Amino acid sequence: MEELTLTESAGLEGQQTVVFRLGPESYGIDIFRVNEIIRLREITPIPRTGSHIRGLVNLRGKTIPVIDLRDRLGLPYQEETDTSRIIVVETEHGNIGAIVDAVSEVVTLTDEQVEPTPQLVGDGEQEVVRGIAKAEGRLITLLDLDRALAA
Amino acid sequence: MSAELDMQQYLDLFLQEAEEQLETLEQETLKLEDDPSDERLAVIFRAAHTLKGSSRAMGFARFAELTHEMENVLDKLRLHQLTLSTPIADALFGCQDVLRQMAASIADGKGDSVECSALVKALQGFAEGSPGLMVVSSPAPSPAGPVDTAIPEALWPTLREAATQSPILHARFTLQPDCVMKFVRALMAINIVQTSGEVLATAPDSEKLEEEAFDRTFEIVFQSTESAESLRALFGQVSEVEAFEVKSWEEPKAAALETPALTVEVPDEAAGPGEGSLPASAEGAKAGGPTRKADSGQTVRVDVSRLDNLMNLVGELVIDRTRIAQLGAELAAKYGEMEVDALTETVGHIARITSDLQDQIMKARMMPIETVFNRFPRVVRDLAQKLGKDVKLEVSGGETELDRSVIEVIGDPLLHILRNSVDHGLELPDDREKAGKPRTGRVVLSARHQENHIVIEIVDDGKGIDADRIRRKAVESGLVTSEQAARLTDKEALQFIFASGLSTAAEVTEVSGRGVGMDIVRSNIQKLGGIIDLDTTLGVGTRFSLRLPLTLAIIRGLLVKMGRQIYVLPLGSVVETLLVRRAQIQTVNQREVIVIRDVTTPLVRLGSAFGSRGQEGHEDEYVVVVGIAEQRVGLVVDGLIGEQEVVIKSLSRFCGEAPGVSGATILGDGNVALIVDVNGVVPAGRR
Repeated sequence: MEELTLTESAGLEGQQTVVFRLGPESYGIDIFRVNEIIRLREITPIPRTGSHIRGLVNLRGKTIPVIDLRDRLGLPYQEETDTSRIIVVETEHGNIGAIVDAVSEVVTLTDEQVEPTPQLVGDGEQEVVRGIAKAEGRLITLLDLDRALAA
Repeated sequence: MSAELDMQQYLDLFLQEAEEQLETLEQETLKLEDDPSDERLAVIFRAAHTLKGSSRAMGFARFAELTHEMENVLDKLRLHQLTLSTPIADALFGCQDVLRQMAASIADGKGDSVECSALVKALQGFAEGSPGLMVVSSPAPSPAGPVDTAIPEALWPTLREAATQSPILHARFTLQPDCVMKFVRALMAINIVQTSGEVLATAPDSEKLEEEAFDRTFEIVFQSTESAESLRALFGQVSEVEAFEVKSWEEPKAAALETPALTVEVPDEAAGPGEGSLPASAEGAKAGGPTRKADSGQTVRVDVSRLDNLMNLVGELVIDRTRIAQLGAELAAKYGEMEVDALTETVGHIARITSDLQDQIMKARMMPIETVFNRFPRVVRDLAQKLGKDVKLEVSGGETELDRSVIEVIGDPLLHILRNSVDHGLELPDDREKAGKPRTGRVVLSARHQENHIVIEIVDDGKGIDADRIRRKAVESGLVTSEQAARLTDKEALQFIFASGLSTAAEVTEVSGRGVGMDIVRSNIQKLGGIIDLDTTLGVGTRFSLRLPLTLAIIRGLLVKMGRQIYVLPLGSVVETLLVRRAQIQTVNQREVIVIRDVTTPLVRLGSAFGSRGQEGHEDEYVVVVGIAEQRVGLVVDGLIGEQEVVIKSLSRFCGEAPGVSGATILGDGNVALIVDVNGVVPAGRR
């Protein structure tokens, strides 16, 4: 995995979380669900499927679907850049890729750092948000991966 | 193919299946005692049921009888009308042992002549509710008790039969405890018998005798021209024998289940006394005789998942092969043919080997379709009897091979169509006569290869399907309004028999009430990438035809370009490709059509069907004519790339329904291309 900086954390407790960016905001998902992080590559669109499904990519001889997390979270469309990455995660339907603007780091979050979702978060988003974490003065939105990826 | 060869092939298949099912029976029955769950009982019940069906079809009455009784008991257990007790479990194990013996005996070409009446009785007792009265306990080795011979019970009937021709003698020898050459002594005794007669059976069998795999006693059952008296004198000369007795053969009364492996000498009809042969070893020499051995030793059973894995790996190789070939061509273009000569050659070699490897693995997964067809004659016969109809089922093309994955799933759909044909298609004998047809109805089941597909047809000469009745039914079922129904062509109306919620049977008979409906049949066929179609003429008959791919793993496809994307059209659906001048495209009802050889063919722009924009304003348009059932549709694409073999990767379920797309594949350049499902890409209304 490239470009990942491990933020050392004191205790062994706490959850290691992969932090990535979508626009100005930071999001986090459980590192154990992340198989790998790959650079953007040719995505073959699948016609007549939901707009959040960007298409298929070739991952070492296997085809895996890639979803657009921006679309899923109701964020405006934005062109991919050099920092864009596909996070490959494991789900009950096999591997699925999620496009993010950039992957920033891996942090270890303790339970104290995590707060339940505040009410002000929009309806659409609330169901996929597991909580909000405060780390080094930043807010990280923790995603419920299964819900976020569910069509 | 001679009839005998045919039988042999069926026999091998039957034995293989029996082996599989017996394995399941044993494994699951073992677990049953600890965990008598309903699922487990269901598995065991199915195994017994399958065995019953296949043995019946093969005509092994005893095998079938025993499995039938097992099924009865298992059914009661399943329905909780009976609780599992040790005697019942013992009986079930006993059955498995006997069934194995029967299978062994069948493999040796001796039929299912293993005695099992005691077990059958015991099972019947259980089924009738007797708590656990068990006459026979299973794997008990036959003791010295009431049974006074170690000659396997299975041989008794043969001996009984032989005894009708001339009396049979039974000699029992006990060797001295320190005897060092047990086999030699036994051989001497056998030789004595053979100078004046013929050995019918030995215990232990000849192999065990030869291996000296016996304690101190052995028995010979034989026919001889000499008297017992003079034989005694001869036997007396064999050294290292402690004791022996010679008397006439008497069949023991009690039944012993567990019997040692058996051999029997079937006296050659022509061979008179004195012309005997050594057991077993000489057996094989009687080629063509009634005791043809089933060759079950030349195959290796491999888990299907391993073949699947191999297939996947080869799929990767095929992709890389294409990739390497492309790289080679690029290098050649850059540095000149000569420079990369060796590379090109090696690439060519790898390509050939990969193709061969792929072929071989595909073949390893291929099975003749008769493995499916075999069970039908029996089913049709039984069904015809039940319905009081005369039916002749003609089967052809059973040797046509196709992939195991397809074999596994087409059995039920085919069976359903056959049932339909017999139940609804064919008329009763009297009605047929009135209609001027022969009393016996004909159903023809055939299979043949057509390009990369297999075509299976089921044709009956029954009354046909009345399109008007289907229209009425469709309206009654609320599938269409009566106005819509009236506008449907007969062909369109008939498609409704594949719609769910429509039973075409005037009254629900026992037969049609069961199993899957035609809607399931069609969806199963389509899932396989196949097409089902029907053709019917009132009063003359109905033809169902199924067109299925030979394999589900690799297809030949036509690669076409659409915008930036490359799509794969399965070659099986492609009829032809055309380059059409813009001027040739006309519009009818604002829909584009072209006229190909006097046939108006609707055009569908693949780009707009897939919601992406293709290049517009070409002077020439590339049209791929595809077949959907018998309808032809021209797909307009931006360009043709060529034919290629592609490995099918199914779409992740995550993608949900993607109409028009049946899967994906990886091309030589590493990019993903979608495989087009021609059925789904063209809206039904536009055909």
